[in-house]
Amino acid sequence: MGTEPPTDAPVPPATALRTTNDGPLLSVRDLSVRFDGREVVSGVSFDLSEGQSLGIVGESGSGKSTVARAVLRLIPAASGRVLFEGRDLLALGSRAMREARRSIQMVFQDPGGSLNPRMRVEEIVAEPLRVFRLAADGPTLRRRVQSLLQRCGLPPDAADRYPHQFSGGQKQRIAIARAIALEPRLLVCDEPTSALDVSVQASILNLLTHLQRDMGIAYLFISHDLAVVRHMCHRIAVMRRGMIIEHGTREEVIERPAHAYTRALIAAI
Amino acid sequence: MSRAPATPLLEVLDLAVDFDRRDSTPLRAVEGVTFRLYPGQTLAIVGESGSGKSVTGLSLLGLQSPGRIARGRALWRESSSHDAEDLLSLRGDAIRAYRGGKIAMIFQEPMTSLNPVMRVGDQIAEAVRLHTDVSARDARSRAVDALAAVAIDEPHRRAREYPHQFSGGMRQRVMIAMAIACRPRVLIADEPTTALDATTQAQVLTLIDRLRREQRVAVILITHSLGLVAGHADVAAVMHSGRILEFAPANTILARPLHPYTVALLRCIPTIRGPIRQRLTTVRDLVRSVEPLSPGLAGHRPWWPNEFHEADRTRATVLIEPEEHHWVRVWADSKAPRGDWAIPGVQTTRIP
Repeated sequence: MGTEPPTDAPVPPATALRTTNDGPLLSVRDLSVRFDGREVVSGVSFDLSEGQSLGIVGESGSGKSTVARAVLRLIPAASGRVLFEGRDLLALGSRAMREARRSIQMVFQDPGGSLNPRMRVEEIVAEPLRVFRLAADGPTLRRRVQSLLQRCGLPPDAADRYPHQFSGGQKQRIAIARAIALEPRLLVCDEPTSALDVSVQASILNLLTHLQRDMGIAYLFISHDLAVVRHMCHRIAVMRRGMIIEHGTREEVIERPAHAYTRALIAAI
Repeated sequence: MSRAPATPLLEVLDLAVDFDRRDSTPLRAVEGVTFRLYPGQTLAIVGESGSGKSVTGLSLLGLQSPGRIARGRALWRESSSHDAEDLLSLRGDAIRAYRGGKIAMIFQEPMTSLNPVMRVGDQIAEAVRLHTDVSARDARSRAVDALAAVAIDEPHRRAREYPHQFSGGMRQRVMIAMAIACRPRVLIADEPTTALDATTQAQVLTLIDRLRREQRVAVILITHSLGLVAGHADVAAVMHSGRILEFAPANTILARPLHPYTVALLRCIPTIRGPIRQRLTTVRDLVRSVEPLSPGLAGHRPWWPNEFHEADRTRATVLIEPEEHHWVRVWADSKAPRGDWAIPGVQTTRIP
């Protein structure tokens, strides 16, 4: 497992990063993204409150995943603001952004592709804790990983195995265990269950619901499946051709859709 | 809508498929699968990964390798005046004549099933020439017709394009075009929409539906979601651990599922209407619960593979028909089953 490097310049604990503003946890304003001069996300704005879920639905190519990636600065935005805890992520320097990333984690569609096949599960889940030097020593780290695995419904012996020894649903549990290791305030889930059987999807959605209730994590939940988004999210934004065309509480959007496209999406189910 | 003729196109009897394991006894991936399929009918085979649903489909075309057919017959009857031919006994050219010809198959991942360096039209024409005695020119025009039939705009132009120039949904249409260009009697669609988004899913299913209706193609729709059964299947078989656990007309199975596993599969899907449940039912809940008995199954214990009870592995199970056209698997010793052995199959086509 190796020894911990000396923690001479510790990053402040996550709570110290929290500001005392009463506004939304995440506030996106007028976000635009361009690829090769073509605008693929245009003027997207939304708010996400602490401990709540916002679902972004749309077909493939609608720009929903691009929004998620731009919020995380995995791809550059052309313009707009991404206010997280009151600070504009797009304006942060690399060190400040690194600190902010502690509070924002991501879960992807393909759990196989997001886990390093050469690392044991313990190393995978411990990695964020190591990077931010959050465990005093090896045994502490191991205990922490065990508790995360247990929390995500994985057997204790999972720690010593490799990703390929797990089913798709279990791989997604590993990815979720890694994502919550730093106790983030925001989890961006990009089609987290789209590659899974419906029965496995149910258990992953139950896990996410449970974690949100326990830890108060806010979810930005990207999916093409309106029924899944309705199940998971307090608010729903519908995207088409890079724009949000409808946005409201789940009751408003599903029961009283204002836009013809939303009605078509509902009818397609 | 006309009634389906009394002769099933395909009768699968007691199919069993084994997979050899290096240090253990063979794994029985399919066990005693039995069903009838009629022309113009869509049979959905529903199950989780590992249930044996895909192996069942592949076996009909001799594509189960490395699995081995351990038992069973798959009787193909061109019409009531033809003799039945057992697909499982065919080898070499004999089974290849069915594969892609009388029985076509489409898979989940259209990109890996298409040749990336061959024009789409040429790929379809090649399949047509393989199975029918037509000129290159006629095969080519059938390819264009097939692309038009699956609602691809400008089929002449698109036929000259390569797979990467098509979107995911469009590629799946190309696969369907290739499948129907040879005018099959049976189309096996293995998770045809899983990789697609909701609106494209609906389009692909509507397309398969139209083939069934207009060309009386019989469809075997293999899926992990009972949600797909609503509106797109006439009959449904739910599989688990290689066995058919429930078989009934689609409307019946959705409205009155008898097996607790089927109930769990239905409740695990989030819905667009109705109350939002805190927690979705999972199959694990079923394992934990104490065999909830459906009222329709009075006196019988539904079969459920309990991994903790070694003795269960050798206990016999049987499909019983507690109401007309509704079969469910129970432990054979839970009560004397009615009749000797049931062949699930419903002759009627879709209830509109």
